[in-house]
Amino acid sequence: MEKKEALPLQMECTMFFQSNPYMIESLAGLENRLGRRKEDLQPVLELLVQQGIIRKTGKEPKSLYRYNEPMVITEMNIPDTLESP
Amino acid sequence: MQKQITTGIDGLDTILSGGIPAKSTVIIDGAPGTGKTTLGVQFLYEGIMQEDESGILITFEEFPDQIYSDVKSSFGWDLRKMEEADKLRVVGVSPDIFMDQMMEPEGLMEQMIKEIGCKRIVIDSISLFRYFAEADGFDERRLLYQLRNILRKFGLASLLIQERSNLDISHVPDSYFIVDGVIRLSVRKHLDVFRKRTLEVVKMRGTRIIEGEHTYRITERGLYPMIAAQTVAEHKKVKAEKVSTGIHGLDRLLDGGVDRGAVYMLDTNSRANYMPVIGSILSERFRAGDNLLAVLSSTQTLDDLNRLLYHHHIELEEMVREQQIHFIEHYRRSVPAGWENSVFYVDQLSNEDYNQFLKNQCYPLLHEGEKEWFVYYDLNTIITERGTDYVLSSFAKEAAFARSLGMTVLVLCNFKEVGEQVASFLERTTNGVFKTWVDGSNQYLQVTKASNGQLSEPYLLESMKEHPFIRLI
Repeated sequence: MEKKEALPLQMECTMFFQSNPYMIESLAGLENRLGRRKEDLQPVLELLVQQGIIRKTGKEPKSLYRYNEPMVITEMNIPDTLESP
Repeated sequence: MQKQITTGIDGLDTILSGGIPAKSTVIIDGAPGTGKTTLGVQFLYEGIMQEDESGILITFEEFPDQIYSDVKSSFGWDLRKMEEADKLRVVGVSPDIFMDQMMEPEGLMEQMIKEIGCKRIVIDSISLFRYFAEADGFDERRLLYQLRNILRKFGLASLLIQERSNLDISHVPDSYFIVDGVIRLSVRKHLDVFRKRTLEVVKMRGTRIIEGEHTYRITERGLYPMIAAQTVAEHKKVKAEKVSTGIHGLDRLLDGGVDRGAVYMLDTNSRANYMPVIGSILSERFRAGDNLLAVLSSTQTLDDLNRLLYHHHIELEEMVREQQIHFIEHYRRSVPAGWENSVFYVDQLSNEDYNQFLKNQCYPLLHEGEKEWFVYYDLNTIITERGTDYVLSSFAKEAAFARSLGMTVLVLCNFKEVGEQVASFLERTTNGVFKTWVDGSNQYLQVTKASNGQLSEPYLLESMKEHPFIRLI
């Protein structure tokens, strides 16, 4: 998968872990939960690990992925339309 | 009794005499749509809110974000806020990873339990272990046994949710034998078009439970079980004075005895020996100084009543002498010498004359003196002698009159003999109903209507050698 094509999947995985912060899953488990192929998911997950968004524990093939919850959580309301100044 | 963990669910804690025993593992078994997950989340939510006990929800299939959203919109439970306060974790995980991490020393689950000081855990659902066990060649029963031991080691009060796949209620899954308790949720047809949800504690080690299927509703506060055998209590401005029945167990069921100035029915079948119940109640009234008006039955003569009360240490002759007792006799039977003035013969009276007799002779007598009156009569005799129509037209009036005079009335009747319609009318007219019957080789007694709204389960009646000669088991 090209890097450009991986961006939506990267967003999808980030959103998934952010919405389910105590999800603990293997690659096979994430394949089932997200409905995406392992070979597409693996590079994206590795990238998210490098970025510090998720954590990877255990050794292959029993590695588990989980969310790396930020120390400070800020909730923002983003309006659908921008207000005029 | 062991320390108990309150579930925090109104009604369920009452059914469990306070809650589930500490460190116990309990299966919540139910068909889809019965509210198993709701009960599990409620157990954790109320544990945090009421007891400040942290909890973990393990969800194998459902996504945590779906649960956050469902319970927030249905019940207003903000689980994310509880997670942020380190009181809760909603963990989405596959069954195999979960078991692996539970068994791993200092595994992710153990770390999480320590991190939040977890006291309660809910696993939704253990039914998925079956597929995991099948795929990996594990024994499902052994897996569950291991899980129970790990949960116990961590000292957690655990609810294991189980999908009921076998709708045959007599089927007992293997899992029931491994755990400490089983609570079963069911949905059944009600009044043709409705569905009734019921909760039953099938098994619970280490605590007393209220048996039976308890109806529950899913309200805006979660599951709300109603205690089985409970109807709406009568509202009384003044608490009724209690009249002891002399039978300790029966008094306990009635919060101290029957209400003074109320009408009670004893429904018996032909095989049941109801005489010890009657003997105990009547003798207790004499001991308390009440007067008695008794309508004799076709099968019970004055001699029989005399012998019965003598057995209960009451000298009827003395009561007659003191004019503490009067009899209404529908049969021309002989009476002991000196008792004539206590007996009203009504065998020659038509129904209308009988009514006049009650109005002009009997009721004024009950007005006399300072003493309380207790009335005992066999309604089957009135039905035989005066007809069903007479009873239907006069019983409500007589009951109302007795109540207005503050008299306590005990009516003997065989509901089966009088038919469903008449029985239903009589039941409606009285304030309380006790039922005694023989089933197989045992006799039972049950309170099926009472002013406190509390209906009892059927109790076994055991004979005793001393007064009151019976007790409830």
